[in-house]
Amino acid sequence: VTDLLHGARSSVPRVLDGVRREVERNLLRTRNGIRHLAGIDRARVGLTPKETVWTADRCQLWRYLNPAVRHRPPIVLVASLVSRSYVLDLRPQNSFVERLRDAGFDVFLVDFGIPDAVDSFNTLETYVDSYLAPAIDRAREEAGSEDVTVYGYCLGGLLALLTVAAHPELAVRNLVCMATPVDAEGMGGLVEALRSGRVEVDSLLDETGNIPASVISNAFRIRKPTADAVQYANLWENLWNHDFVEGYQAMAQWAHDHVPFPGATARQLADQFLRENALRTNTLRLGGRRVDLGAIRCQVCSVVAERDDIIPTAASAPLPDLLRNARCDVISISAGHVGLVMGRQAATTSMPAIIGWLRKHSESVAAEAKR
Amino acid sequence: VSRGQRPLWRRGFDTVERAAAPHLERAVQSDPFLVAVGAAVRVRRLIGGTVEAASTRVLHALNLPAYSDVKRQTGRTAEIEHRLRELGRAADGTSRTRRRTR
Repeated sequence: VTDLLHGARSSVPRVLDGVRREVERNLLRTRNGIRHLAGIDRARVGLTPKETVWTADRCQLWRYLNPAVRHRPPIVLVASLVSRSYVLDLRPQNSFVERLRDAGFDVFLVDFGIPDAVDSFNTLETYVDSYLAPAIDRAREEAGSEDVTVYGYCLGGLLALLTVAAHPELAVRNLVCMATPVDAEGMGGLVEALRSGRVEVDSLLDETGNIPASVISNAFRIRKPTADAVQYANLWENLWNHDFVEGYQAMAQWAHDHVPFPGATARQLADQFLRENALRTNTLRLGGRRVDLGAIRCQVCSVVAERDDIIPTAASAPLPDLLRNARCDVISISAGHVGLVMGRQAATTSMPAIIGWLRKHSESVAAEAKR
Repeated sequence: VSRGQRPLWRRGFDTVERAAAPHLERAVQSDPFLVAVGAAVRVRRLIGGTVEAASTRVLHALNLPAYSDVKRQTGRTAEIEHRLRELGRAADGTSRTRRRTR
């Protein structure tokens, strides 16, 4: 009896602690929940200080301010066409750009903006010849460097690849293609509906001539039908945690913040990239001329996410086979598509490997000054 | 919070989700699903086209512009603006080449 009483007495504070913690958490949940639902705490994204150094139509070249550049050449990041570029600069402490900058690189980013009816006529040639090629050259000039590292993510990697191949006059020392699709047969998912011709690009276009952002957003969401429910369960479980809610909001904001896809580019990609698999067969044409990946002679790095469900490894892994005149290193990381650039996995796994590779293929500014 | 400390509702949710997710993911990758998506897109377009054609007839009968007219005009304006952009770029390129050759 004494033991029982003693046990009960000692467990009372524990139970009270648990109750108190739950009450506190529920109060925090209520506060954060109201903020979240009311949209008061809209996540602030893309906060790394930058300046716009070049524009063409809606396309902008940003340079991230870095008073302590320690490595050359500068890095020109090429964002994707389907999502907002702030995925590369989501939040302080969780930003791909910030990590590169803190590692001592001079970082530029090419942002294509949000397409409207005028941009619906943009073709691959517009992006490659009119936007990317001059932007890369401008970044080199702006940094006062002999050459640059071009770094493309997702579809941005594909554009970077085409630009470097189509413009051998560009001074590109390194080309990094991260989660870049090169083999359409490996894409799977709803892309297969376009590839097989079950869905025609023209049937997806809205009155502006673009594929609406909502269609792209839904195509991403449908790949993982339970993902939204899991995200909401995570949110509810951690709603008391302000840091978690902030991170969740930034991520959720980006995940639902797709941009319209220019109709003319979509048609070209569906015909050449998806149906003809022209990149894999090295028969892709831009403006009537063939773009030969053999023209790429700089150092290349292919960063592959092993658990990527947007660009499966089957679609991104064949890149080294296509580059017959370039040395291509492969960094294979056990991460998902987004985990490559943000979150704990990016901080601990992908970024150290990527920064290590970039340092190895760059030179320190001090060493350059001594010469 | 470690997995062992997760609340009961969450453990139940995870069990159901883990059981259902692979089946649902397989289903949305399957051929019948893609066929259904294709059919849905075509049906939506067909219905949209039919409704638009009917409303266009009514509006034109009243001598009013229809949505399709506005759409066509917006498309044409956008195309002209796009061509102007391209011409501007071509002119820039030509003047740069001239400066270089001088």
